[in-house]
Amino acid sequence: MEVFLQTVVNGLVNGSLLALLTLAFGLVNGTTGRFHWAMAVSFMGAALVTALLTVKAGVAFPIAALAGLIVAALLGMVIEAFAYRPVLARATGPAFMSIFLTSLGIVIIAENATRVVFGSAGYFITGGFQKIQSLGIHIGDISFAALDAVFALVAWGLIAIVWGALNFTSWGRSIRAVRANPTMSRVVGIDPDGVYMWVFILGSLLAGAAGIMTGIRQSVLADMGTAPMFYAFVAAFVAGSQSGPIRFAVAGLLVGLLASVSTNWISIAWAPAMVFAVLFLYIAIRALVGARGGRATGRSAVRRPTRRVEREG
Amino acid sequence: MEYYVNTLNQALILIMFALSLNLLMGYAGQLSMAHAALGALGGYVAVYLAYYHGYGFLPGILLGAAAALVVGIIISIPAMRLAPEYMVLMTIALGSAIVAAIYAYTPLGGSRGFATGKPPVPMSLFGIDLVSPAQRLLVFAAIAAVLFAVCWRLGESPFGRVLKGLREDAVAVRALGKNTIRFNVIAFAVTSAMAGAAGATLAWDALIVAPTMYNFSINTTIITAVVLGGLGNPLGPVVGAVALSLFRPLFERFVHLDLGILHFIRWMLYGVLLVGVIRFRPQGLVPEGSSIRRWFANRHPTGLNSAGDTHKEGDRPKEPSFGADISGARDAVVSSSEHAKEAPIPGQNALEVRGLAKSFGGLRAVNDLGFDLPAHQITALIGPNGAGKTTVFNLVTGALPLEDGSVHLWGNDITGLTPDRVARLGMVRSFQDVRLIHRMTVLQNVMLAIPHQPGEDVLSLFFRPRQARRFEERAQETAREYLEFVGLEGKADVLVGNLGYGEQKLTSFARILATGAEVLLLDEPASGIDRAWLEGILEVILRLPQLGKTVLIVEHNLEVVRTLATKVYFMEQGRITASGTMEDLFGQERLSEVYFGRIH
Repeated sequence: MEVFLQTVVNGLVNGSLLALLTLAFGLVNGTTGRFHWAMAVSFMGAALVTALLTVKAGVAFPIAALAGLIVAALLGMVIEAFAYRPVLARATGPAFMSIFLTSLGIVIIAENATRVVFGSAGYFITGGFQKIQSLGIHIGDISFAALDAVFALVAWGLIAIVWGALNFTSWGRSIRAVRANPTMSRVVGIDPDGVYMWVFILGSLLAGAAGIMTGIRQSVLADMGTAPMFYAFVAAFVAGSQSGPIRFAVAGLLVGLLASVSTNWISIAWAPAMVFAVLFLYIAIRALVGARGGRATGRSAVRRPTRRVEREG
Repeated sequence: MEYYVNTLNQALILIMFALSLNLLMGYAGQLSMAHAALGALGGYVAVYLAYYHGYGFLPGILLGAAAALVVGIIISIPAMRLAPEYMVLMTIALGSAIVAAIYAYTPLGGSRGFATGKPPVPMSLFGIDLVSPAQRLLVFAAIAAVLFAVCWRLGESPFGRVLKGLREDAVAVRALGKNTIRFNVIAFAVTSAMAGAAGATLAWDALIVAPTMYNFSINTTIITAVVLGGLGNPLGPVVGAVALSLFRPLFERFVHLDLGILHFIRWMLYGVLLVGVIRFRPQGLVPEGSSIRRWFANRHPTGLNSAGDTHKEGDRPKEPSFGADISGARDAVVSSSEHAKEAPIPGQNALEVRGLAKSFGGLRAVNDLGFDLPAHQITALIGPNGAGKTTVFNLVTGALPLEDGSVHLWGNDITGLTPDRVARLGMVRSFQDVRLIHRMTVLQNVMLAIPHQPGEDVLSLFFRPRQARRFEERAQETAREYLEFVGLEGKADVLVGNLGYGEQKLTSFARILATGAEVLLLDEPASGIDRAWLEGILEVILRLPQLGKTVLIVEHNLEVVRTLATKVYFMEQGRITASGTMEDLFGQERLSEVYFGRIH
C-alpha cells in the first residue's frame, strides 16, 4: 500500500508537469491547427540554455531560467514564422501532412545539432536548490522532495494564470474567437495570424517552463522532449482537440498519473508493451464508436467545433 | 568493392520500404509511423521461423509479409475514421507496442536479438547459398522490382485513381458508388505486406534481427526518402531512396570526422532535407503525375501532352452568351426535340419516400416527410433556408442514418443502405459545393465515377490486364462523351483546381452522369453561378430526362425551378406542406409569405 501511495505521489508530480505541457500543446494545436510536435524543441531549448548558463557561466538560476524561457518563446516564433506559415502557403498535399513532417524534421535537426555542438552527455541545472532538493517532506509513510511540491505548485499556478487570461482578458477572448472561427474573427477585426503568433509564444513559454523543471528533476538531454511530447499528445487526444485549458490540464495529470501507477500492476518487462497496446486499442475503439463519418465532414473526428468554447465563458 | 555492393543492398531495402510507404502516404493520403515496426514484424517472423523451425529465406519473407498484412488490415478500419493527427498517434502506439513486445518476449533475444541459426544460417535460394553481397544484390533487385511493379500497377490504374480520390474527399468518392472501405483495407494490407517483406529482407541480409534495426530513426529515414523523391508516383520513392543512400558512403568515405559526430551530422542533414524539401519543393524530386513516357513525350512536342497546361483559349466552341434570358434555354431544348417532360410515363415513380424522420439533438430536422419522384421528370424540392432540404438528400442517399421512414427506389427497399450501395443501385447525388477532386484532371474526375471498372479490382488488375486496359480505353471514351454532353470537351486535361466555378459545376454533372445512375439528386445546381454559365447548366439539366434520368433538384432560385421542374414540393420545418406546379404553389399567399417573408 505504501509503495502504491508513493507511486501515486510521484505520478502526481509527473502528471502536473505533463498537465502543463498538454495545455501548451493543446492550446497551439487547438487554436492554430498546427500540429506542433516541434514544441519538444522549446521544451529542451529552455532547459539547455538554463543548464549552460548556470553551469558554464555561473549565472544565477532565476536569470538563467528567464533566458531559457525567452529562448523557448523565440524558438516557437521562428518555427511558426519561417517554417509552418510558408509551408502552408505552398503545400500541395494535405496541410496536416506537410506541417507534421516539417515538425518532425525540425525535431531531428534540433536534437542532432544539440548533440554535435554540446555533446551527447547530459547537463545538470545547478543554482542553489541542492539544499531544497535534499529536503524531504514526510506525511505518514509517504515522503517526497520539497522541490517536487514546489514544481507541482508552479505548474498548477501557471495553468491557473492561463485559464484566467483566456477567460477574463480581451487578449484571451481574441484567442478563443480565433479558435472557434478564424474567418469570422477576421471579419470582426481580429488578425488570426497575429493571434497564432501569441499562441505560439504562450505555448512555448509553458513548454519551456515544463522543460526547465524536468531538466532540474532529471538531466538535460537532446531528446528529453520526445517522450513528454508523446504523452502530452496522448493527453490532448483524451481531452479532445478543442478543449479548454482546465480539461487539457486534467487530462495531462491523469495520463501522467496512469503512466506512473501502471508499473505497479504489470511486470516491468511487459509494461511498455501493455501501455502502448492499451493506447492503440483505446484510439482504435474511440475511432470506431465515434461519430459516424466524423472524418468525412472534412473536419477531423475529434476536431469538431464544440460547445466547449461557450462553456468556458 | 564489397562496401559499395553492401551500400547498394541497403539502398534496395530502403527502396522497398519507401515504395511501400508511398502507396499509403502518396496515393491513399494516410500517414503511418508504424512502417519500421511492420518491417520488424516481418523480420522477426522470418528469423524466428529460421531459428526455431529451419525455414529458409523465401518462406520466411512470405510469412513475414503475411503477418504484417494481418496487422495492416486491423489498423485499416479505425484509420478511416481517424483525423490524420490521431492516425499518427495510433500508428506510433502500434509501432511502439510491437517493438516493446519484441523486447519483452524472451525467446526473441531482447535487445541483442537473435540470428537465423546457431551458427547463423546463410541466405539461400533454390539450394544456392548467397554468401557474398553481390549474390544477394541480384535477389534484392528482383524483390524491389516486383514491389515496384505492384506499386506501379496499383497506383497508376483505376484502383490508384480511387485512392487519390479518397485522399482528397472520401465522402464524394463514396457518393459515386465506390466501396471506400474495400479500397482502404486493400491499400493498408498491401502496404503493410510490402513493409513486412522489406523487413524480412533486411533481417536475412544481416542474418540477424535486433530491435535497433527497426527503430524510430529508420522510420524517419523511410519518410525522408519518400518525401525527397516525391509522393504519389511510383518513381519518386526509388529516386528518393537512392539519393538518400548515397549520403552514407559519401560521408563515411570522404569526410574525416569522429564517427559519432558524423552520425549526428548525417541525421541533421536528413532533417534539413525533410524540412527543406517540404518548404521549397513540396512535390519532391519527381512530381506526381510525371512518368518516364511523359518526360520523353514532353521533349518531343508531338507526343503526349502533360496534364494541366495543354488547354488553349478557344478550345471550347460554344461559350454561353452573356446576359441571356434563361427561360430561352428551355424553349431551345423543347423545340429542338420532343421534351420528355411533356409526355411523362404515367403512374410510375422512380423514388418513393415515406414517413422520413430525423432529429439532431432536440431539433426535429425532418418529420414524417414523404414525396414521390415521377420517372423521367424533373422534380424540385424548395423551401426557406433551414427547412431541412439537404438533410433530406443525406437521409435518402444513406449519408445520414434515418430514424424512421422508408425509401423505395424503383419499388425496391433501399432504406438504411450505405451511400455507395445506394449509388450502385442507381441513385446518385451531387453536392452543393461540387466536391470534385482538385488534384485530378476533369477527365479523371469523370472517369472516376464510371461503375464496374475491372481496373478497380486488384485481381483483374494483375490477372486480366488486357480486360482492364480495354475497359479503361472505353471508360475514357465514355467520359469524353459526358464531357461533350455538358460542353467541357475542351477542358478534359485541365486540373479541376484550375477551373472556374461554373465549369466545376458542369464537371460535377458529367461526373454523376458517368455513374450511369438513373435517379439524380442535384443539390443547388445553380447556386454560385453567374448568368453566363447558368444557361448552359439549365440546358444540360433540361436534357437529362431525355437520357432517361429522373431528377430531383433542391434550389433557391425560383426562376430556375420554374424553368426546370414539372412538379414542386414545398418544404418547411421538416415537412412537405404543399406540392404542385410552381404556379399552384405561389398562387397561395401563405407559401409566398413563408418563402419570401411578409411584404408590408
